[in-house]
Amino acid sequence: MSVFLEALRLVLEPEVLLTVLGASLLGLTIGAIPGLTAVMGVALLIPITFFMDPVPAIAAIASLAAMAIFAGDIPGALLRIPGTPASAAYVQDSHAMARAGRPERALGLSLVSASIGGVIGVMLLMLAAPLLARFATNFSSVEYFWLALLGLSCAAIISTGAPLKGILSLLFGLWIASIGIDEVAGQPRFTFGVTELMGGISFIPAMIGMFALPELIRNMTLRSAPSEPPRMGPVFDGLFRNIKRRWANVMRGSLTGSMIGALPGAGADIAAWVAYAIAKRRSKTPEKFGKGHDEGIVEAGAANNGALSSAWVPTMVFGIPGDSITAIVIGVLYLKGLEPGPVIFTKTPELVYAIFIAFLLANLILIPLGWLVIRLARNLLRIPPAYYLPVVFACCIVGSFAINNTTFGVIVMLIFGLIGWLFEENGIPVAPAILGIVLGGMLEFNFVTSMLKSDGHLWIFFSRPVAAFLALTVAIVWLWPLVKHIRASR
Amino acid sequence: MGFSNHIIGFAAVLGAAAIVAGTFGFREIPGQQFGSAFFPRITAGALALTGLALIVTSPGGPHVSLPTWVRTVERLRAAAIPIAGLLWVLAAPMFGFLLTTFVMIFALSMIAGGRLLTSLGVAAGVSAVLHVIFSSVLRIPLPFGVIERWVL
Repeated sequence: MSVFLEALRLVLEPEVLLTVLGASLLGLTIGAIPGLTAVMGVALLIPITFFMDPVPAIAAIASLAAMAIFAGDIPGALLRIPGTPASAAYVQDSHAMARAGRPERALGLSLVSASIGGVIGVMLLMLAAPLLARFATNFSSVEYFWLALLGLSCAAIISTGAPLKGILSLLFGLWIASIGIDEVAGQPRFTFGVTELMGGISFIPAMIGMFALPELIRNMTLRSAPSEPPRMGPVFDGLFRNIKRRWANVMRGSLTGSMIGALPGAGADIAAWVAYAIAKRRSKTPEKFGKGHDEGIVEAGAANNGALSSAWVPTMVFGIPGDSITAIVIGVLYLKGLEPGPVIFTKTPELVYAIFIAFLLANLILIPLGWLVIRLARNLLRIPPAYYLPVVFACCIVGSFAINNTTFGVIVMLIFGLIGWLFEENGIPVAPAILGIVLGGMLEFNFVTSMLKSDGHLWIFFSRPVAAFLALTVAIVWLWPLVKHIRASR
Repeated sequence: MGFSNHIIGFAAVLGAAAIVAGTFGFREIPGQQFGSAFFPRITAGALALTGLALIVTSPGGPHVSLPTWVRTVERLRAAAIPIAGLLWVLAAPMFGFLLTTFVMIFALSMIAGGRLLTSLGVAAGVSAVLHVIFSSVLRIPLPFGVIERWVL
């Protein structure tokens, strides 16, 4: 109990509350502007969190992500342009509802279901993470190797349309992770005599480049805001009656999202699509889906934020990111000298609980702040890209510069931005490459350590029950596309 | 700019070969079976296999396809972002953060179709705000130049 009170005290510091408020407003703005995604917002926030204490830094990321994921529904409903990929699953319904003259109903339902989904996801995080952490204290390098491989495999194979291109992206990330001095042998690898590469490719500029630059380049080809958003009525009129009517959908969506989010490598995007598909399958009126029906909006909206919260379970417990945002979080935790994993629960439990509370707070203040941004949405959507795109690019530059105070970070950002753009133009997903960069070091370290322990015998990877189970799970993930292909060809 | 899966696969195989070639100079650690070259070579092997799988499983088609905007004036606006970034890297150490960032935002805004006065206002305001946040609050030594010397 004293740990919980200490965590509460940490979160209720005015500095933390102000940071949460500022990050929330930034997240709502970024999510509401088409083309600016939640991951890009988090990437741009990192250089600032670099200078904060751990609790406000993580609280800022959690708040920004929760707000941006919801706010992505706003341009989706009003302009049929999903603000974030997670909003794409139900954009047809929310836009149809807005075109029928009820945009406030679509957005109100999204808002409340996102908040409930987020709170349920946090509850799962609070319950599951400490239990799993206690279990994970017995893990050795073998289990950590399989966990890292499982996270990377899910990101490359399950979460992408074309598994081969997902694997390609992942392997590119793993190679990038090997650049710099090898910790074990002290051997510089792929540095080409460049001193700045001795410490490896700086993760933050690479990530800012890969996530932000492709969006900026793509958006620069648009001339102005696409169309005039419709007028908005009162958001809360009849809202809670509608939510009560769809309570089963809210709960199912929250639980589906929370469970999918907790899988390493899966994220809010997949959770939203799966929840939408379940809602359609279980509905008594599936023919209404895609034509402005509220079941899909509520269920997938709840799943979005549920997944966002529970993605922190593998992140905090095993140091394996649940999605792209938590991949960034792992980088931040390392920068703050906090190694994610079961030890963090025993070493600094107050910090872990402070992060949970900050997450809960972000999902609760989502309702008033979300209401505010819905009211201002028409004005936000009228800002021409000609003004905000150069500003976002300037933020990318200064953020990349700030990491090492050199223009080398900016060069890294530009190079990775162009690589990210080429990836996206060719249907190669960017997220597996980022996960590869984050987890590459851990994967190599645990693999080599295990091989050294066993004197080069591979049986060590299957010698313990948990390791064997994880190996089987990885095998299933890798065989899944093959099974799907065989079933489809019959 | 889209490339066919054959070209992507071929690039992956070439990349894998380059990675393996890059590992030849890595020294062995006496008494250890797994040196610095071990993991990059595994990565390269997997990369080559993935590239080959892409080549084998993909149907034939055009090797390079360009998006429609590449044939229009929009290509200049798309290229403006990386070019502006490169110019910032070259100019900022000479002219300082404030002037370089102001010119960059203003130029990009005009290229993207912004109005003159609004673009000037946005460029001036945002450069100043970023300077205050990063230089004054976060104490980042941003590139120092003409305006900083005059204002600060």
